[in-house]
Amino acid sequence: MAQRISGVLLALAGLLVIGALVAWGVDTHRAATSGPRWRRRLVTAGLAVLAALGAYGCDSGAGVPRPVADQAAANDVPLPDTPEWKHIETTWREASEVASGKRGPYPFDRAGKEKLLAALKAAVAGVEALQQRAALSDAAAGLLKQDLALLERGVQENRPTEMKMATCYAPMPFRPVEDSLKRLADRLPLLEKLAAAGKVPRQVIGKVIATVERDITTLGDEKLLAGLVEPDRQRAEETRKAAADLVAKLKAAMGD
Amino acid sequence: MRQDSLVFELTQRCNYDCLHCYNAWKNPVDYPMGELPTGETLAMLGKMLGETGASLVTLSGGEPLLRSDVYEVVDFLVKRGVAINFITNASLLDEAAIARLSPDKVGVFEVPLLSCERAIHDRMSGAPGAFDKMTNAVADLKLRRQRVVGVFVATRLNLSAWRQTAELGIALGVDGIMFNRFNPGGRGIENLPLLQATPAELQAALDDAERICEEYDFPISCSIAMPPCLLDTRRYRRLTFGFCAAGTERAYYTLDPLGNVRPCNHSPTILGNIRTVPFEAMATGRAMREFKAARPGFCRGCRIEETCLGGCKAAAEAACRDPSAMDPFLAAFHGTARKLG
Repeated sequence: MAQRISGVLLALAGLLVIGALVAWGVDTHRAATSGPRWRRRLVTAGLAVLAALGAYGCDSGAGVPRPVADQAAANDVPLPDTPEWKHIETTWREASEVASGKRGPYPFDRAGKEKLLAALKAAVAGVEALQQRAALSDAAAGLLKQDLALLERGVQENRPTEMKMATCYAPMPFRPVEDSLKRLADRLPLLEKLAAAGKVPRQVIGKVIATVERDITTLGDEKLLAGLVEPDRQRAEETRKAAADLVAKLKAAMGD
Repeated sequence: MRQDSLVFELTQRCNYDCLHCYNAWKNPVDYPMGELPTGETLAMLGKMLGETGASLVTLSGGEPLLRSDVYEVVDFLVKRGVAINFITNASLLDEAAIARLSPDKVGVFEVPLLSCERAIHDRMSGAPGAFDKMTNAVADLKLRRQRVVGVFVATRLNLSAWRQTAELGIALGVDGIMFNRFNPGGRGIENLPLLQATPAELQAALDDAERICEEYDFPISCSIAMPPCLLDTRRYRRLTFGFCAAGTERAYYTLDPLGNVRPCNHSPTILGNIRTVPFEAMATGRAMREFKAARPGFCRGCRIEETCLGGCKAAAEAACRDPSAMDPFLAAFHGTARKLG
């Protein structure tokens, strides 16, 4: 933390010098490229020092975070040895590599992505725990949390290996509607709405009802039900009943 | 040189006049037009399949059902054990046609699901009555236990009713929806100002799409590469997104009715003719290498430059005659792009 503050102060000092030069109307580029050699060398060296101060001041330690001076204030265990810090370091390293693209465009599978995102969440929780135990100052914890949020965004941006097969134009594998009990029940209120609004020809509604009735029959098939285990069996029964009621209602509304 | 799949454009004829049509022959106008007789068509298709080993063919057009020998082509593919996707505007999908294109032959039908509003669907299709024909065909296909995917082309004209349109598809029983952002090419280029939605409008629609996926346990895949610098795709867990696969084994090289091969169905670049040039020579030739390497200067240095490739090169090519130009969507909105990484 002290290092960061001194860096920022040095950078500010550099900025002040530059501001003063600009205010005095000094053309530093011209001074560094024309005139006597001694003056060119002096101005170039001065600019180099300013650049070095700026670079030092801006160095936020982009790599793995370093344990800071206020560590373990109220703690017997040194900060680097705490399980929270170890987790933060490991996760940080992995997430940095993923977010920077170092591990390629598909750095993990779907489960791996979830795992890394969960690890990042745990890292944030770790920072908070260290902050609560005064092993980290509020300012340091705040900065770490900000950086972890940036890393999380970088990780989210990367796609899992399962998406390697996705092309810009191709239907992904679709599950047939019969596979989804939930959708069968959901479709009927939508159909009812469409019928009431007269948006779809009546004849079309009739055909859709026929497919729904077929699915209801399928759901009532004892052979199919026998193959289901609880709670799927009960769900199928409930869906069948709900769908049958809605079909009857829809038919009545249509005057059939 | 193995390819997983390819697109075969059976005919350039169409009975619709879609505002968003990307068919390459509608721009440029000097694109070779015509069809081969059935025998030559099957021979050409056989050669293409033999040289690529493709196990999936997407039949497209124009409107493929306008071709009288469409069923012979389907049977030819079925005999060779090739899976079939069928892209159609659904206007000619009557009960007889559906019966001949049974589920053991056609795996998926892709039909336009442009709006739940009849007037908008018809206007975008350039064909009065298109909406009624589409809904009727979907209902018939589902009665025949066919797998149907609704294709929503997201434009300024239809985005406001996107959610209701998706719900129409779900009510009709479609098995999934492809949410395609409008990709200018062919005739669509003329209508760019009328159709191009803003990133904010598309983002709102994608938010809705994610909610629909969750609410209805329903699959929606987003087609036509969505540049993550313009659209924040990382916030979605259920939607699927893809990038340009041109030149990889997942590419969908496109064969036109005369045997000309293009990098994809959106691209107007002809790599050669399969009747006279081996596929491998086309896939490794200069034109394809240039197409593969092309990407806009704007994307240089971006962390995902190698995956995203700047969106759709074919659209850039169609609009600017240069695949390394900016995709028109990126060109219109790159001022608002966020920096990645």
